[in-house]
Amino acid sequence: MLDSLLIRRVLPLLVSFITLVVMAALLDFFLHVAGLVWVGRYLGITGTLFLVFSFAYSARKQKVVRSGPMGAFLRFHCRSGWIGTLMLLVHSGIHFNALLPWATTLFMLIVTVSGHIGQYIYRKAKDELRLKGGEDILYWDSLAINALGQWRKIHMPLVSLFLGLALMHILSIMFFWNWR
Amino acid sequence: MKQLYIFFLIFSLLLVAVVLWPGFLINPGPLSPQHDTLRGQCLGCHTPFFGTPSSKCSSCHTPGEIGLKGVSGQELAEGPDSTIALLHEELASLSCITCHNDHSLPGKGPLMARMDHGAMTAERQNNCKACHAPDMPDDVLHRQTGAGCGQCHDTNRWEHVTFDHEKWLLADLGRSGSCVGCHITDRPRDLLHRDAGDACIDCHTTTAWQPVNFDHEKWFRFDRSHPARCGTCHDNPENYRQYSCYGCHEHTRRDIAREHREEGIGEFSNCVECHRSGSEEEAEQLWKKKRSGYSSSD
Repeated sequence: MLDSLLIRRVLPLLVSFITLVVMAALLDFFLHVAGLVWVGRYLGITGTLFLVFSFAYSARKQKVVRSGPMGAFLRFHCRSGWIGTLMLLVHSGIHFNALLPWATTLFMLIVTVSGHIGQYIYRKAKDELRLKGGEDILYWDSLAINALGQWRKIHMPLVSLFLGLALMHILSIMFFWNWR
Repeated sequence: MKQLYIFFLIFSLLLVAVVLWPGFLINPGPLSPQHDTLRGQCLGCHTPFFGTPSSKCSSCHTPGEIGLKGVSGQELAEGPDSTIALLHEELASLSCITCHNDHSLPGKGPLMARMDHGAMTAERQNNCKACHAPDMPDDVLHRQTGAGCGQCHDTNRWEHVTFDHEKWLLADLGRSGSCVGCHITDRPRDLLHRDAGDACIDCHTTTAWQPVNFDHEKWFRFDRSHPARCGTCHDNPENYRQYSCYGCHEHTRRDIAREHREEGIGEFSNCVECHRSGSEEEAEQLWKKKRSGYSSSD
């Protein structure tokens, strides 16, 4: 059963997402115990920077960046997004202050789940292309592109919604925050 | 490009929503009851992109009158508070938000209200009583300590105490080991502690009241069958010299009497005389030693 393709593709992604949530909870707990809660505030800035870096993949896809292996950009997108999300989860803590930051956190998690689903579709397509491709490589390639296209139709609006919420949260903080 | 349009549409809708319902969407917590009249008037205290300047606070709270008069110059209902007045006089050069923050987490008080003692002059920092005289406990210990609160307390948390007995009370301890001079009310009233007299140091340390160094093994060693729960054997908390082994189901008076008589043991009322742990072998050796002692004395 552990050898099945489904488990091989799904398990690492499931572990990745659960690790993200558990690590965020542990780090938040540690900061509270160590009296370093203030660190969480600044993790918001570093986490945002990591998410901004992760958009290098989009820049490569849109050919804003013209060279570099696409696979490497995709891996960077996933890893940078994972680290940024971890930092932002710790930043959000477990304090219910206002609706906008909480909605931002919620949509960040939804986008992360969606990203993991995208990774699953990508891996599945790659496996199928390798196993069944043969002479029908164009057929399987078209199926993969179609599946990823369908996923992107959901993922990208979610990303837009998250970005809108995040930008509004950042602006509201800059507007009201006491920079000292 | 389509993505960009979607993003701007979402952002514009959010912007409208935030402007219409700021309290619902971005307010980090309710204001204090005293500032309730300012609810929804964010810019009454905040200056966009420059935080909360003290000038906004002082437009209502005249710095020289804090603690003495109300915001409209009226007399305070509870009367003037010289401590608050003195404190604010000294901290006049600081920004109000160094200590104050009016937004509260529901049920948790102000978000980041804190008192930075480091902002005060060194002279004031060494004179805790100028502000905290009413907070000072009226007990023997605190009456002896004088003004040196900082020797034990720190300015972050009052309860975070590092009390050094040797440093403060060496003379007292050296005189008679008289811990009870201060700890008379803490002292347990059972016979064990009454018998111990003033020799607290024999078991307790001056760094922490618990754990203690009481050597129970002089009488009985704890093992797997005998977990260290006092009440299991000492059923009278008034007198720890009393104990009973009959509280456990293995030991019934009839069976114990029968087993001992079978071995020729007539006196078995004080179990720990031979049974110093769960070891039968050890008990047997002690009994033999005791019996030979009786024989030789006969």
